[in-house]
Amino acid sequence: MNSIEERIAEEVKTALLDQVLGVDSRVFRARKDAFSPDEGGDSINIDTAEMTSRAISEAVDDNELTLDVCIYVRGDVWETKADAYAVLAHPLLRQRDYLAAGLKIARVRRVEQDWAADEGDATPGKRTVKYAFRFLTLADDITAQP
Amino acid sequence: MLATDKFYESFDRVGFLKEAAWKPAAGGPAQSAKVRFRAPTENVLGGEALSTDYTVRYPAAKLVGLKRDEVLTIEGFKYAVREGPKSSLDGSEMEAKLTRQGPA
Repeated sequence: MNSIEERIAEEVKTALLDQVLGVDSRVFRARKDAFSPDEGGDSINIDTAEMTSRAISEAVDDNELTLDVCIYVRGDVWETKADAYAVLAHPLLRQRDYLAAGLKIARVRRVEQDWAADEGDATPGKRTVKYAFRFLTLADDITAQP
Repeated sequence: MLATDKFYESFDRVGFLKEAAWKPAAGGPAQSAKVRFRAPTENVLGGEALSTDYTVRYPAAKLVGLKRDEVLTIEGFKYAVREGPKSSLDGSEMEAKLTRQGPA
């Protein structure tokens, strides 16, 4: 069994896969290879950014996992194109039935964003949307929740 | 020293140049020129993505008036000028950065 944080990241990928028109099946996790213009369209990569934990009792930890949902686009205006994907992805992550996947998530919030682009053919750009997931785990077992 | 136009003629004789056709958006006669067309792939976004850097270099006496958003046709593809053109060498050569639009 994987850790709760790993299962959340995988669930986020599942939530977006084939659900964001224009990105379609080009949803990746922790991809480090460069995105190429010949891959058939724009892409989303989900990177685990950080996780903080604090004890709320001897047996239970209160955690917040931050995932970077990185939207890679090419086009003019690239910010407008990336925004359309961000708008489509947001409700898929906020309204997802995580419990159906066995995950008890107390809160999903968009907490930060940044935009970056380079000059080049069709202006390659990246919008990073950070989502924070709050959840409890057992102190002795990071694969289990109370 | 070889003047830029002679330099380009020499390049053309050995097959290094490609024909670029341009019909000015504001009207006027169509123009064409033999250009040095380059398309190297480069890393962008801190290495997270690849991008092809399409550029043309040509004698300043050719394609006069070319500017951003004008469209060149090179080897059956349309390219829009996305930056420049800017001069290089002693001002006798120009370079324009392009973005590929699709088949002509």
